[in-house]
Amino acid sequence: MSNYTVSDAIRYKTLALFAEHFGISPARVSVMANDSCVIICAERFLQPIVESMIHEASQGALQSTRELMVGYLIPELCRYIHNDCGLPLDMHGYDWNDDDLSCLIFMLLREPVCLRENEPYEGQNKIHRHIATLTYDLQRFPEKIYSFWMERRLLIIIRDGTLTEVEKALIEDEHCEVLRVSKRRVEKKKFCDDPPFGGIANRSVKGVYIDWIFPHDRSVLVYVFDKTQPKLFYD
Amino acid sequence: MTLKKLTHSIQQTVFSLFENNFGKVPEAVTVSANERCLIIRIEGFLGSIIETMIAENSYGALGSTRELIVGYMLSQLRADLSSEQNLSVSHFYYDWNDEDLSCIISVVLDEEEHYASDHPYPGKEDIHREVSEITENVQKVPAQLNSFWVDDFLVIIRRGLLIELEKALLEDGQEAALRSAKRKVEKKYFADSNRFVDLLGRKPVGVYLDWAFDLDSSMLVYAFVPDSR
Repeated sequence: MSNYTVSDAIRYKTLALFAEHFGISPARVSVMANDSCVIICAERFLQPIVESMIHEASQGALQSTRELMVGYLIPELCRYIHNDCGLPLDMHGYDWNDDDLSCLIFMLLREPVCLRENEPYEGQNKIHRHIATLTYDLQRFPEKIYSFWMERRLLIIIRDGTLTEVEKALIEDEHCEVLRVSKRRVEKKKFCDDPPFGGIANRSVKGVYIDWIFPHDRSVLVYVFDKTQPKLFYD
Repeated sequence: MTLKKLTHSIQQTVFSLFENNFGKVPEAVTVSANERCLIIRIEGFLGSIIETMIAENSYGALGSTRELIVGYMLSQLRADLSSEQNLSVSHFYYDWNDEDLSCIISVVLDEEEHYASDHPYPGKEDIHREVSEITENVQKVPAQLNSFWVDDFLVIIRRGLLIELEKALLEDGQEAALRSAKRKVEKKYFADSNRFVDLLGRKPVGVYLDWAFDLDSSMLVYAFVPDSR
C-alpha cells in the first residue's frame, strides 16, 4: 500500500469509529503519514452542545468529554493501523486546539527515521535554538531536539529529556495526568505566545498541539500553518 | 517570662497534647526559641505498629499516619500556644526524618520579622552559596535567602523559589502531590551534601524540609546534637 492509500484507509476508519461509537462524524478528518509517523487531524467532532460549553467556560467538562472520546477511540485506531495497515506503531499522543476545537493525534512509528538524524531545512538551527531557550525558561535544556516538516504545512518538533527531577518524582507517584494538565497550561501558552518562526510566519500559525510521552521523557510539539510553505524569518 | 521558662512550658504543652490525644508521650521533646520562631523537635512518638510499617516499607501508610497525627496536633498546639503562652502563630512548618522517625515543628510567630531574620555566623556565605546551588539545580535560584541559628538548629529560609509549572500545579489543587515530590527530590540533596558538614564542622542528626506554598517560601532545618565544646 502506498502512503496515499494508507492515509485514506486511516481516514475512513477514523470517520467510521466516530460514527459507530458516538453517532456523529467529525466535519473533517485529514491524515498524513510518512516513514516516521502518522498524524490524524479531526475538526469539529464535538456536538454543538459541547462546543457551547466552551463559550460558557465549562473547561473542566469539555476537557473530560474530549479525553473520554479520544481516549476511547485511540486503542482501536492504533490496533487498526498496526494490524490492518501494517504500520508498526510505537507511541502516541494527542492534543486539542481550543480555538477551533480540532484534535490532533500523533503516532510515532517504531524506529522512526526522524529520530535517526535531523534532516536539515531552512531555519532549522534557529528554530531549535528558540525551542531550547523556551524549554530552558520553563524547566531545563532539552537533551535532544528533532524536527521535520510534513506536507509543508505541519512542523513536528520532538524534544527528548526535558523532565526535571521533581516532575519525574510526580510521575513516579502516579500523578501523570495532573502533571500533563499543568504542563500543557504552562508550556503550551509559551509555545503559542512565542512561536519560533519570526514575525510573518508566526502569524500564519493556525494551531499548536503538544503532548508528553512521560515514560520516554519525550514531548511532541506540532505547529500547523494555514498555508503551505510559510516563509520563515522574514522580519 | 524568660526564654528558658517559655521553652520548658511549651515542652510540657507538647507532652500533654500527646498524652491526652494518644495516651502516650514521645521519648524526647526539645524546644528551642528565639524572638521570631520556635523549633520543636519530637523523637520517638510513633508506636511500634508504625515502626513495623517502616520495616515493611509501607511508606504510604506511614506518611498518611504521620500527616494525621501532626495535622491533628497542630490545630491544638496553635490553640494552646495562644491561650497558655499568649503566642500567636502565623505559620507552622513540619517534616520528619525517616531514619529516626523524629519530627520537627517550626512555629513562625511574626511573619515579617521571621523572614527578615538574618544573624551572622561563621561560614554563612558559603552555606548560602551551597543552598542556592542545590536549589537552582532542582528549580531556580531563590529570590531571597536568610538563615540563623536557634540553639542547635540551623534554620534556612528560602523565598521566591516556585517555578511556573509548580504554580500551575498548585492552582490545580495539587499541593500534597507537589510537596511530596519536591521533598523526595530536594531533601536528598540537602541531606547528602557533604559541604554542609565541612562548612559547619558538625554532622547534623537530621534534615527537615517543608514549604509554605502560599507564601512561596520554604524552611530547611539542620538539627545537631548539643555542642559539647
